[in-house]
Amino acid sequence: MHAHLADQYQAGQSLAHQLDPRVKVVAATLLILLLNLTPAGVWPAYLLLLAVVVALVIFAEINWWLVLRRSALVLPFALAAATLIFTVPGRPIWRLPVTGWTATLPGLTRFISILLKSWLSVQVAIVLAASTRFADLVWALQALRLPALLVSTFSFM
Amino acid sequence: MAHLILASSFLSPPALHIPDGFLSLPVAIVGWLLAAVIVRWALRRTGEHLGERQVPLMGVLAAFIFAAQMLNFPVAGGTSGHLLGGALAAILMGPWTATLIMTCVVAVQALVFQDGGLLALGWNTLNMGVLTAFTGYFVYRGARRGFGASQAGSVGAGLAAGWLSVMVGAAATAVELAASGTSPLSVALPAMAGVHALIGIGEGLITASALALIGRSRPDLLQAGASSTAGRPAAARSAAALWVVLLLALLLVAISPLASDRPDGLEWVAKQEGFGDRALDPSYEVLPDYSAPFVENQTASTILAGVLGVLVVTGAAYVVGQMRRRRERTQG
Repeated sequence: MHAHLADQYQAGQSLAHQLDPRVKVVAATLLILLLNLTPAGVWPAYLLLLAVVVALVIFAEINWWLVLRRSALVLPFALAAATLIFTVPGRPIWRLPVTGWTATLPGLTRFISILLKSWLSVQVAIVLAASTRFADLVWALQALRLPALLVSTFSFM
Repeated sequence: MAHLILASSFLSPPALHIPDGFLSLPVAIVGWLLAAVIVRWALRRTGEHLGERQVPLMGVLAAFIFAAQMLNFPVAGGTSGHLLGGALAAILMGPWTATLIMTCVVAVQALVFQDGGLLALGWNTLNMGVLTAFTGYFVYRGARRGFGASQAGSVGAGLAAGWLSVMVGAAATAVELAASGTSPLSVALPAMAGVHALIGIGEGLITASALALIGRSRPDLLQAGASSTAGRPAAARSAAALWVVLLLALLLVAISPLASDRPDGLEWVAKQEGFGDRALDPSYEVLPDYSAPFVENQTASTILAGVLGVLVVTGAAYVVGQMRRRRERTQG
């Protein structure tokens, strides 16, 4: 399990590390917003977004293994969306033995799209957390007009 | 579908931290707006009551809950759960301060640990912060009135508050996933309610034992939360609120069999995907056995699933209600 707030930061000298934390917080939020605006099944767009995320990880000089390991965090949640494979109406593609459930193509498309969005979004957030010290993150939030009481509670955590 | 619910309830961990990608953008934005309004209101409320000295206490409590959320306890069937802490914070500090504490906890989890998404942060704050704090607080106050002022009464009230706060948070999460078209309500709600009926017991036990410990060592801390809404007929109001919350939980569960009246129980998805391609599709022949049992099978099993969920939650709520009533009778 994660032990401490400071553990998430990966010391480094990359451009991503030196970027203004305010810019990083806003950019990460916008990128995640963009990711979530992508409609299901537009695979070229997902490929492009994957390239952007990969570029980010290279740019921030963060260990690949670390990003992959931490991004597995969203996998258990995928189960919530897995039901879509069988419940979205559409062209049947496969039948689950014993249970008699039928997987449909639109269902599978939606499921994979949700999984990709979620996995890419979490990697953006990982890059943000791994390239920004907690204190800088709190400072950035304060600069972005987060209320003072919340900021002081953060700093006591 | 019933198999799927059982499978998902045994495999998935306590999935209350919604990651990005699982909520549709409109749903996420509504969550952010709601959370912003409520947190702003909480800031104003606590600004009136909170002394400078209480800010460190808030921070310490936030850090404590943050740490406690990392400790998983095993739940029957191979899942594990962890403390949410909203009810405990609300009982100690009052619901508005607890809302702020939980907002900080959930925000740090999202920002630093990617436990829960950034777009989903609005709903995650509402589910795990606002809803657990207010449910916990009012159930505690109401049950406290029923159980009496004894130490045992406090423990019982803490147990009920912890359990129900988790159930309300879980039900809300299921509704949000369904509204996003990520998981049909007839699957998500019974699955979430089922798993969290067990996890909630852990929450209740930890809340109750923390209260017992604090009541023994620092009884003055237990007064802090009580005084934060002083000046109102709080007891009567919280008893009413307890029943409102119970009814709300039952109502949410009651929606699930209603939703499965439709062939697939999936209004949102059906609307988005359209029914057209299903009827026009020539590849029906690929699966010869497909056509006949599909719809009926699914309807039957979603109704079964809904009924199971209703039974679980109704039964649990009934037991809590009975406990409370019996206490009330012996008291008065």
